[in-house]
Amino acid sequence: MRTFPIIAFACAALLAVPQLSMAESAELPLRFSASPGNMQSVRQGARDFMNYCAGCHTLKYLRYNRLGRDAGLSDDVLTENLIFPVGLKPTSHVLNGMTEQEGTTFFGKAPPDLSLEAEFRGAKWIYNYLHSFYLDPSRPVGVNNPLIPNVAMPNVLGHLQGWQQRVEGGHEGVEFKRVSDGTMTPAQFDSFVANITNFLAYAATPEHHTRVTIAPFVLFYLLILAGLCYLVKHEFWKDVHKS
Amino acid sequence: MGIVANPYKTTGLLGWIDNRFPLTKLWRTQVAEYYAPKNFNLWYYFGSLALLVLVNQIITGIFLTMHYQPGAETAFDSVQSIMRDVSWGWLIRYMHAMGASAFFIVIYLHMFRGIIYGSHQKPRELIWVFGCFIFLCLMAEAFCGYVLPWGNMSYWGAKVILSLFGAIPFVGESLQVWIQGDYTPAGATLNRLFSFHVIALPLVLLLLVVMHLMALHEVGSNNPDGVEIHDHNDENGVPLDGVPFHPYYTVKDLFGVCVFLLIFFGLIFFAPTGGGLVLEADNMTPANPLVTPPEIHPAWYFGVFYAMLRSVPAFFDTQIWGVIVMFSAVVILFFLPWLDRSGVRSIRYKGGLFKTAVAIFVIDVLVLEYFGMQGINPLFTMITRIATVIYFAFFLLMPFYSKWDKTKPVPQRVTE
Repeated sequence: MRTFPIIAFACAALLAVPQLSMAESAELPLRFSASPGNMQSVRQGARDFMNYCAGCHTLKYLRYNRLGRDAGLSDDVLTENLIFPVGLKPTSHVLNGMTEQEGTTFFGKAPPDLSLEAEFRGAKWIYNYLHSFYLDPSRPVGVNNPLIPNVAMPNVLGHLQGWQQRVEGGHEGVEFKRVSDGTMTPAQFDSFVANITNFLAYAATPEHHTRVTIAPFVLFYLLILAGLCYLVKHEFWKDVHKS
Repeated sequence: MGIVANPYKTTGLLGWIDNRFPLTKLWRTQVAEYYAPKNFNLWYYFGSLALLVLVNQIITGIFLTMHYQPGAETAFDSVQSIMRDVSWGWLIRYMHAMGASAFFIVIYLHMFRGIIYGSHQKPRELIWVFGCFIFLCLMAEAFCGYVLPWGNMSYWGAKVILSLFGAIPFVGESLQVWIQGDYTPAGATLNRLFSFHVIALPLVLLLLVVMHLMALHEVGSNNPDGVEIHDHNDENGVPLDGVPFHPYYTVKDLFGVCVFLLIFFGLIFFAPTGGGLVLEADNMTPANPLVTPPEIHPAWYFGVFYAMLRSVPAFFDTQIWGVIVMFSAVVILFFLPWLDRSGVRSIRYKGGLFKTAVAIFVIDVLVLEYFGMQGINPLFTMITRIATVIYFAFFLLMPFYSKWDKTKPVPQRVTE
């Protein structure tokens, strides 16, 4: 067994690689860890997404009834509350009415599909991004965002959060000063954005809930099997070690 | 030697088969009466695990192929459909993706085992050479598979790797276009890589694995002591230090399989993207020739070779030197049996010189792996250049240090 430390070292070294290479991004000051399995939050996030985001953004890989199945919403509830575009059914993907051509005409760049955004940029990025819009009169829609400089997206949540200005300094060189209050308190807004982010994290990995639910059963089974296999092995090898 | 059908005189259905096909003979000579040394340690699990992962890749691959649609317009969407609409598709895809990384971990440890216990030495040179071909084939297979989801990293990874052919003087550019079937990686490229990934390379891989095992069963397994168990047999010709592969190593490997699956599924359930090493964030957006990812680096298992590729400067107006160095790093592995001039096989009886060389080599490979996954800066380039020289020195100086090394006396029989 003296080789074990060498293998352990090699495995540890391999595991250390991602830790080192994924050094913390400097631009995401707000801490956030997504809970795509928190279905209450996902439901509220879905509602808010359909109200504030789905006018422009699609979730072309997510079906309404998949969300319904995972979040415990019936087809009727989906149809009455979440499926806005005419002609879409519960089995449809989450598609909005804006074509790519219209998006390009309105904003200069078509709003991206957000199905995989939480995997592509990360949930923490989305959480920070939605918090980081600031007033910038030089931009066509009057706002800017340090996470996507010269962003084309308007600050849809501005009236909820309250409008803010960017001031130099602060921890990462970016700090905001609130210039008008929104309809929500900062705590309410944080939880509002957290819900939307959790919903997007869910939309990117809808299998998450099943995955972590079946995990203990599979691993427990394998553990028992490993134990039994060890006993069988031990039994067979007893006479070899004796000789 | 005449052919004797059914030498074991079996009867009934088995006898009927044995009169026509060497079923019992194969079972006995290759499994039940194939004697393996009784002193295999932890390192010897990785051979059977490699076979397990190969089977995993083939089975999950068959199901993925049922739902995957090659084509620049369809590939990315079909992968998402597998992840969401196909029953248990997400599990099959994660098993395949994680399986690719597991394959390389297992193979790298398996190769390292060969180096430290001298399993490449006479008479096992061909086992090692077939193994190197398997590794080469696996690298090609992994590259093709990496491109198939047609995410942005797939696209740019393909662009970088296929442009290596373009670095060949005179014919390079036309060769690259011929291989790609287009001026950049495109639908035509994707379809031919798909064909290679699902049929051409797996066929070669399976053939090589069979040859690897046939060569192994012809000469018998080496062991951590590096002594030949067939030198000491009982009156029936059975090695004194050997145990029949079945049931001894079948039950032992089964335990290894369980432990492996615990780790494997633990990762699949709780970290399916492997922290960005198995499935990268930059590949979660469709291929886009107009948007270059912030940093292009290959899958982690190519980090060592990619580091070498980048570290070699271009001169005489061509980039070909890096490509040559990178391929040489794989090709040099084939020559290991003839570079090793040591009188003993196992590291247990080798002297300080060889042990030091192996220790430096391990650190060197980890350094190359690490810097292969980092961005470019002058300091990193200098470090990888030194590491590249050390990598080649380990092999090219081996005829000297393995000969000068003060070895210890090797026991007649295995020690545990």
